[in-house]
Amino acid sequence: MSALSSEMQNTSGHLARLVAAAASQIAPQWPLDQMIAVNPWWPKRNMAFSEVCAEQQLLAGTDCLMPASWYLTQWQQQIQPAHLQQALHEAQLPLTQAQAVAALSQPTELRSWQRLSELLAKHNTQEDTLPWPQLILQQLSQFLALYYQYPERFNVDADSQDHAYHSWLSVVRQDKGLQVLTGTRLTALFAALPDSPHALLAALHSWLDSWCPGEQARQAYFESLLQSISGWAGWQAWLDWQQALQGEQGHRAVCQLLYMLLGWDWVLWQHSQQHNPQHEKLLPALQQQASQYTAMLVHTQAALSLRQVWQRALEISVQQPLLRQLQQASQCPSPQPKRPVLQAAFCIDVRSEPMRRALERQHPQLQTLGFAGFFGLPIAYKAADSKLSRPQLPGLLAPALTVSQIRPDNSTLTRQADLGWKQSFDLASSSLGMVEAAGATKLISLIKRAFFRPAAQHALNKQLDNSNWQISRHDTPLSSAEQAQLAAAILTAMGLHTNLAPTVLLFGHGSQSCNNPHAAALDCGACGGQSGEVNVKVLAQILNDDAVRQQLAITHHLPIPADTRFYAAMHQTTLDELQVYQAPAQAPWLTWLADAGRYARQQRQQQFGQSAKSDKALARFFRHRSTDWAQLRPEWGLANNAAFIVAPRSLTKALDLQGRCFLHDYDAANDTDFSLLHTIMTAPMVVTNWINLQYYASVVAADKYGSGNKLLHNVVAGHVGVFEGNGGDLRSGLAWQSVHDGSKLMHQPVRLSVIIAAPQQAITDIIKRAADVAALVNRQWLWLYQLDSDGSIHLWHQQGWHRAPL
Amino acid sequence: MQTLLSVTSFKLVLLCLVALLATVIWRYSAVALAGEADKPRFMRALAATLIAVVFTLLSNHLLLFWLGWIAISLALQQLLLFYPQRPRAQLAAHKKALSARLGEALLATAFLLLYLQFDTANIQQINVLLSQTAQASVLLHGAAVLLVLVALLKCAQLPMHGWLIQVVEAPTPVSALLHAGIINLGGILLLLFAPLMSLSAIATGLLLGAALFSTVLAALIMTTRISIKVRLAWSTVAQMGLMLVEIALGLYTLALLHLLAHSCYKAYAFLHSGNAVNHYLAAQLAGQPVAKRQHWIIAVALSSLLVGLSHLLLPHTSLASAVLLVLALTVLFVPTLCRADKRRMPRLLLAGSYAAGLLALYMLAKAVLSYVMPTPQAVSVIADLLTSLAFAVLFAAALLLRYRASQRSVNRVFIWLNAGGYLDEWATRITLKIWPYSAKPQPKAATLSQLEELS
Repeated sequence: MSALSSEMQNTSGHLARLVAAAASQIAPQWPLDQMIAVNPWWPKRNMAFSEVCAEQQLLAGTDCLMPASWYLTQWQQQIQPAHLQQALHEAQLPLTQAQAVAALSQPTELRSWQRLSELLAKHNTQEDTLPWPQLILQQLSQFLALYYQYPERFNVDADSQDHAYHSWLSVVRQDKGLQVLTGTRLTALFAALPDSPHALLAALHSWLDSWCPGEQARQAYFESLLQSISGWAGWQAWLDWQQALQGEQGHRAVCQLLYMLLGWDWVLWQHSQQHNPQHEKLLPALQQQASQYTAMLVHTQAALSLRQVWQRALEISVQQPLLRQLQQASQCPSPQPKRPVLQAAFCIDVRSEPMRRALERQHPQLQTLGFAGFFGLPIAYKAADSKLSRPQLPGLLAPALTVSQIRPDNSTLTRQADLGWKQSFDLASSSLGMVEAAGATKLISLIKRAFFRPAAQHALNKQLDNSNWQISRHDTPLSSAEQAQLAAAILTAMGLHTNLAPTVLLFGHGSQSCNNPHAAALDCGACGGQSGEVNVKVLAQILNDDAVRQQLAITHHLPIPADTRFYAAMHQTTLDELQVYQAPAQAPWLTWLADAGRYARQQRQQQFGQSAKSDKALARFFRHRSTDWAQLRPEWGLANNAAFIVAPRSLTKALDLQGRCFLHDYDAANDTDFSLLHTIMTAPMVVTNWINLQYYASVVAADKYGSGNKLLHNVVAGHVGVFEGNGGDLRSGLAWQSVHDGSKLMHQPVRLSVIIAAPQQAITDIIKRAADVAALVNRQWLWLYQLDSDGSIHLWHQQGWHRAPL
Repeated sequence: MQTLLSVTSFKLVLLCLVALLATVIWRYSAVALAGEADKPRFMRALAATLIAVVFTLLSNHLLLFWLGWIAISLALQQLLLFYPQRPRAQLAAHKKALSARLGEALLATAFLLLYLQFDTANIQQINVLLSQTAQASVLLHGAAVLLVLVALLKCAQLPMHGWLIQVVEAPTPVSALLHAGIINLGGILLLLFAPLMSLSAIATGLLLGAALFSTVLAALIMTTRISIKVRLAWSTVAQMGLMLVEIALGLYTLALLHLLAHSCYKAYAFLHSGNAVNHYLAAQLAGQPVAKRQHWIIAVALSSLLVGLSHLLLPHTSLASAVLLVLALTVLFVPTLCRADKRRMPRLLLAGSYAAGLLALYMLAKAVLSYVMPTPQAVSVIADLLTSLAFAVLFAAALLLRYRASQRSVNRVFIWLNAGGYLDEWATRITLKIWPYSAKPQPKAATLSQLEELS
C-alpha cells in the first residue's frame, strides 16, 4: 500500500487519507458466537453526543433520539417539571417549560444526504426494476457473505493486499443477473473499473473535484456510502479490530468495502452520463449538497436540540431518585467488618444485583462482591483435542494466556461432532438419500424438541467438566510463581486480600436459551460473550493450589488462610439458579443458594407479567423458557440498565436497585495511589458504556442499530451475523424482541450514569490522563457523578464539578 | 364411491402428517408470535391454510379439489404477507402468486380434460376408469402433461423456483409450513392420479427430465448458499425434484416415503434454524480433516456392500434408489476413515452399525408404506439407468466442487451456481412489471414525472 500511494501521491494520496478517515468511523460488530455489546458510536467518541446525532441524521438518515411523540407520553409521567427545568437550564436554552412542551408537538423537517444511487432512483421512472440502492445493497451483501463463507472460491492472487476488492471485481464482472434485473448493460463499465483501488481513486479524482472539492464534504460522502451498508461495514471493522489487537493498525477491511462502494458509484455515474437524458441535472444537485454540508450539519443539530433537552430530562428523572437513595445510604454508618461466613463474588452485570440481594438475605455475615466477570484473567479457552479457541475476556483486550482442560485419553467415542455425522446432510449428493434413510431419526428429533424439550446445550460448553486446567503462555505452562503473580493482582483488585471467609464462591454467569442465534448476547460480555464458567474454574484452581498459595504468602505477602477454599460457581441468569462445581455435599450454604434462587425468581416474575406463582411452578416456568425452541424472549438480559456504581457494597446493600445498576466494589480508602480507580474507569466503565449504548441504540434506532425481528432472522455464513429475511444488509445489535415485550419497551433509553465514591481530585486526575475516559465524560456519552464521603454529590459538567441539585 | 369426500389409506397417512405438522407449527407459532400485535390474524390465516389442506386432501370431486387447491394458495398468501410493509416480502409473494395462478389455470384445464374423457368429476371413479384403460387417448395425455406441469410449478422446480427461495422473508413457522407441508402438494396431486401417470409416457418423460434437471442443479446450488434459510430452501427444491423423479419412475412407495421423511426433516430444520451458530461451532470443533481419494473409494465400497446385503434381504425396486442410499451412507464412513488414529476401527464399527440401523429403518418404512401406496409395475430400465447416471454425475460434481477449489474453472462454476444460474432474474423482472417495487409509498414530485427513463 505504501509503495503505491507514494507513486500516485499527487492524485490519490489525499483521497486515500480521507478514505481511511471515513473507514475509521465505523464501530466493530462481533460475530454471533462471540457477540458482545458495542457502543455503535465508539469511533466518534471525541465528538459530542449531540453532534453525532446530527451527523447520523444527515449521513445515514438515522434518528438517534426517541421521537417527539414518545417524549410527550413521558411528560408528567416519568419526566416531571423539575427534570425538564434542570435540563433546560443545563442546555442554556431560553425556553419556558410550556414552550418546550409546545415546541415538541411541532413537526420538524430533517434532511439527509442523498447518495448518487438515491438521486438516480428518485429520477427513475422505469418501474419494473429494483431501485439502485436496493440493488447495490443486495449485490454487495450477497457478495460479502459469499466471500467470507467460501474464501477459497475466488480466482484472485491470494497474497493480494486488495483481495476482497479484487474478488468483488471478479464476481461483479461476470454477473449476468444484474443485466436482466436492471434492464441495462453495466458489464462493460465494470470491466473498465481499475484493478487497483488507488487507480480507482485517481480516476474518481477529477469527478470529485467537480462537485465535492471540500475535505469535510468528501469525507461525508465516503461515510454516507459506508453508512448505507453499515452492518457489513461493522463486520469489516471487526476484522480490522482483530488486526489491531495483534498490533497491526489500519482500517484495511473497511477500506476494501468502501472501494467497492466507490466502484459502484463510478459505474453508476458513467452509466448515467451515457444513458440518462437528465444527467445534466445531477451535477448541480450533488454540488449543492456538498457545498451546503456544513450548514446542514449545524441546522440539523439545532433542529435536534429540543429533543436533546427532553432526552436529558428523561435521564435526570432516572438519576435523581437513585442519587437521593445513595445520599441517604451514605449517611448511615457502615458496620465494622467481621470475618464473613461466606464470600461470593459476582460479575458487575446488572443481573447480579438482584441475585446478590437475594443471597445476602440468607445470612447477616454473608458478603457479596462485584467485579468484572472475567475476573481479570487474560485468557483464551482452547477446546481439548481441537484447534478451536475463543477469547474469554473483554473485546477491548487481546488474550495473553491459553487455558485448556487436561483430558484423560479415553474421552467419549460417541461424540457426534467427532464422527462428523451432523455434516452428512451437507454434501449435495448425499443430502438426497440421507433424507430417505434418516427421515425417521428426524421425526424423533422433531417430536423430542417440540414436545419434550430437553435442555439445549451449547456445542462447546457441553465439553466442559471438572478436570484440571493447563494454563500456558505461548505453549509454555505457567509456573507457580507466575500464577501467584496473576492471583495477587486479582485478589488485590477484588479487595479480597484481607478478611477471607472460609468459603469463597466465584460466580461466573451464563444464559440458557434454545434455537437462539444471539445466545452469546445474553452471556457474560466481560468474558467475550461466553459463559464465565471457564474463568471461574481456572481462577478457583489457581487460588486453591498449595504452591501458588505459598508463593502468594512469601512473595506477595498475601497469605490465604489454610481453611479458606475457593469454589467455581455459576449464576444461570435465565433460570436464576446458583450452581457450585464440586461443592462439599453437606455444606450449610448450599441451602442458602437454593433459597436465594427461589427468592430471585419470585422477584423477577413481574418482568414476565407473572404473579403469585408457587416456587415450583415458577422454576418450571423459567426452565420452559430456556428450552422452548419457539421462545424469542428467554430472558431480558441487560435490558433497562441505567447506572454504574463504583462504591463499597455497604452503600448499596440496603437498596433495591431493581436490576438496573452495574455494581463494582471499590473502597477508596484501600486505593492510596488510585491505580485501581484508574483501572475501573478505563476498563469496566468503558464496557458498561458499550453495553448501555448498545441497548440505547437498539431502542432509538432499531432499524439501523437493532437486528430487527427474530421471527425473520436468517443466520449468515454460520456465525457472521443475521439477515432479516432473505437478504438486505447484515443486521447488528439487539433484536426488537430483546428490548420490547410486545406492548411496551423493556429498556428505558437513557445514557449511563456513573457514580463513583472517590475524591474529586482523584477522578479529575484520571479524566485528564485517560483520553477515552475524557471523551466519554466530556462529550456526554455518559453522566459522571462523584459521591463524596460527606454525602454530597457532584456532576461532572463542562469540564468541572457542579453540585447536583437533588 | 359417489361421495364428495373420501378417505383412503394414502390420504389417512397424509392426514396424520398434517396433524403432526399442524400441532408442532401451531404450538411454535403460539409462543414465537407472543407480543405481535397481529397475532390473531396470523393464527387465523394459519388455521385457514390447514383447513384448506385437509379439505383438499379429503375431496373426491374435481371441482372441490380445485377449489381447495386455490384456497390453500390464497390462505398461504396471507401468511407470506404477514408483514406487508416489507418490500422484499411483497416481491416474493407476488412471484408466488404468479406461479400459483398459472398452476391453477393449468389444473382447471387438466381437470376439464379428465371430465370430458370420463364424463364424471368423481376422482375415485376416474381412477377406477383409468386403471381399466389400456391405451391413453390424446385427451388423457394432455391431462397428464398438464398435471405434470402443475406439479412442477407447485414444487418450485427450476426455472420457476424463485418464489420458494425468496419467501424466507416470511416468519420462520410459515417457512416450516410451506417447506414441510404445502410444497408437497405437487407430489400428492400426481400420486392421487397415479394411474394416469402410469398411462402417459410423454408426461412421465417430461416429469423425469425436468425434475432430474432440477434435482441435480438445485442440490449443487444448495452447497453454494450463504444463509441457513436460503440453503434449506434450495434443499427443498432438490428434494421435491427427487420426489417427482421417483413418481416419474413409477416408484410410488418410495415417493411417499420421501415425502414423509422430507417433511419431518424440513420442519425440524426450519424451526430449528436459529441453532445454526451451534451447528457451526460443532463443525469447527470437529475440524474438517481432508479426505483422500482412497477414503472415498473405501467408503463407497463399504456402503455398497451394506446396501447390497440389504438387497438380499428385501430387494430394492430400482437401481437409482440403491445408488442414492449408497451415496448417503458413504458420507457416514468418510469422516471416520480420514482420521488416522488408533480408534479408527471402533469408530468404523460404530458408523457401520449406524448405517445398518438407518438401512433397516428405511426397509421397514418402505415395507409398511407399500401397503399404502404400492409400486404397481417394474421400472423402465432406461429411465432407471439414466437416473442412476445423473446421481453419479451429481456425486462427481459435488466432489469436484469440494476438492478442486484451486482450479479456476471449478470456481467459475461455483460462482455461477451461487448466482442460481441467473435463472430467477427474469421471473423478478416479470413480477416487477406487474407489481412495481414500492419501498416507501412516496408520491413523486411533479417535476420528476416529466423525466425520461434513465436507460
